[in-house]
Amino acid sequence: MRRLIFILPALTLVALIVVFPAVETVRGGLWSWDGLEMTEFAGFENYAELFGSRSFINPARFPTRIPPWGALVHNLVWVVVFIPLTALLGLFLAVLFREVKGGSMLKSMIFLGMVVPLVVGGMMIRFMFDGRAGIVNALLRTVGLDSLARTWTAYPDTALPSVILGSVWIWTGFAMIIYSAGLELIPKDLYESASVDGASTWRTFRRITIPMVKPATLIVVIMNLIYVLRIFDIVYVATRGGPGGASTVLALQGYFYAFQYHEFGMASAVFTFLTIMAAAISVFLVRRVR
Amino acid sequence: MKKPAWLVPIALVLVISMIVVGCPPDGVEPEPELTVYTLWTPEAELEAFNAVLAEFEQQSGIQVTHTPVDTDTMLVTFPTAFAAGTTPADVVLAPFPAWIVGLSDHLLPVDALLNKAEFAAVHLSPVTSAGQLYGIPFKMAGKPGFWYKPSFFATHDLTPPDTYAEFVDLLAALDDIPTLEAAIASGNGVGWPLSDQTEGFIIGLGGYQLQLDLIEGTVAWTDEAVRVDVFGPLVELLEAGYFSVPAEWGAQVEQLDNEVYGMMWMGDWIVGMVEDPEDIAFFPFPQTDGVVGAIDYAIIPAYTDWPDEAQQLVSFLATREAQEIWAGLGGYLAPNTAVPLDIYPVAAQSVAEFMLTVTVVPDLDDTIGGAFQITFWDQLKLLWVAPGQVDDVLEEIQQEAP
Repeated sequence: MRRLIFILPALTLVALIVVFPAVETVRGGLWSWDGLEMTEFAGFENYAELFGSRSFINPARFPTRIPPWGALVHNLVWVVVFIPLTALLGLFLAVLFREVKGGSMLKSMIFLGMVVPLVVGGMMIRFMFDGRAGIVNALLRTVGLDSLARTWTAYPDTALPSVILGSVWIWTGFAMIIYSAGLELIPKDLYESASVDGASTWRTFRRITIPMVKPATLIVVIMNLIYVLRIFDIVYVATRGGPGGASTVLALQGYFYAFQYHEFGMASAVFTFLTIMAAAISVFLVRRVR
Repeated sequence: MKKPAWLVPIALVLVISMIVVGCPPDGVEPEPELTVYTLWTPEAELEAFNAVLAEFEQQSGIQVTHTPVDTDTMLVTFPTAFAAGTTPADVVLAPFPAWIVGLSDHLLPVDALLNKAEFAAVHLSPVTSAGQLYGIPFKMAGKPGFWYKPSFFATHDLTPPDTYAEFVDLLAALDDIPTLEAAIASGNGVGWPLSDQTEGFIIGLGGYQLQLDLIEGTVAWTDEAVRVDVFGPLVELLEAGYFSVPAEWGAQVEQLDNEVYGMMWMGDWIVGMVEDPEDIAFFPFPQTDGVVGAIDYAIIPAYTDWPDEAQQLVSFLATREAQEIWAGLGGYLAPNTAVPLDIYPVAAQSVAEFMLTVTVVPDLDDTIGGAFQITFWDQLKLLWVAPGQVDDVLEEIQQEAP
């Protein structure tokens, strides 16, 4: 009883801040709305409209033509491109800086990207890929690729890649820190034994490092997965999902439904779908690794 | 250290008692204090509106706090607050008629707070719902045409065009100036700079009635009058490279000032943004018969704690007296027709004078709002970099049109 009394404030807060809004969101997706009021039970009508809309999946353009491919496809592109890139780059940097003098300082510098608010990150991506002042275009011009130098976020074929690549730059610090912690847990004698047995650096990395950082990889993949499925801030600031919906994502679509179109039923359907999808993929990954 | 469980309820009782004691005792009425939300964050606009509020405070004795917010904060905060039966502000000034009408169930009617004879019907109808008025027109932003630096035009022996053919010749002449990146600066950011520019073409090439028909939904975006007559010439100019790639509109104004671009379509507030307000002028779209006048409306949320005082303020804002204060300071056009022209500073006066010679129509996307506005903005961004996709763009816009 005494335990219950002590846990009650926390439970009350969780119920009010997490459970109640979540239940209301699920309920909202199943009802018709008139402005700010739920009017009548609509079953899966909102979901049917969502799944049938071109802004959700655009089969006329995906995969044969340039974006827009629909928010769901764009989210999946994020998953396929962003997660492997950040994980590989993070692992590479963690291994590299473990061996380098002053590695801790370098790691801190790369980790700085993580402490930048995502809204600022979105602004930085806009400037990085700006045709006139962006560092990316300056580099392209330096190496003679002038034809690629333009405002990447303004064009439908480069808007999505630019926000993904910009986010990789911002978010790699997270993967690097997790992998650094994972690397510290690998017993040194494993490497010593490998060295005595004459194993090459690559073989040691493949047979010892990669299997031993599997738990860290799981954390990186799941955290990044949750990050990319709910990605909003960076896209909103960098491109607003444009041009022509070429870089829009589900969370942004949900935001527009709710606060620009005032279609709260559709917004609830988007966010419910997003939550179920993230939960299902995360559970699948955790079980698979076990 | 183990603490007895009975301390928890006692602590709760103490906290509740402190909250109750902190509340004002019965019978003591707190002083009314109004909070006003606007989108006027630039310093000049902020100071000008504060001058209007200062006059109201002096006359009424009611204290007013002015809170400038950004567009997204305004669009997101109020619908959610209204759903909870509250409001963060007692009076709001917003340039979104469709948004206002959509929220009209949560607003107080303001019919009795203004002299309707002093306002054009075209400015009242967008915020009228079920026969009741929900916003009073306080500030009008004129979007009269292309702004340019007269000194730059003089240096290069250029003159503002009178016909569309002369306009195209001017673009070609600007294109030949090697120091210019493009003849016309294209603004970006939220999306309205491109829609303002496009509305200029709609009214200029299709007439003001076409703008009204598109707002009403009686003409489709895929109709020949729009696709061929308006977007045909626009696409030709886009394909010729006369427009820059869209970039942050504030930075583009700066680049116009730096003579990186020859001209830019913008509202009259540009005068307050350039280095030398004497060296900025506009020319309207050649032979246009209309112009967009975008209105900021004052609205009163129904959940205000001070309805009488809020009505007093809104009633004041509708008067010639209140609107003259800002008109005299510049960067402002008064929707109250009783405000005389000679009160404006020179730059604003030329805009006001031009707007008297043509038909003033509402801003197209602000009036329709909702999904249309977001789609319109986003599709125009696409059109600007991929003009060949004009048919797809117009179809997408039509999907969300009224």
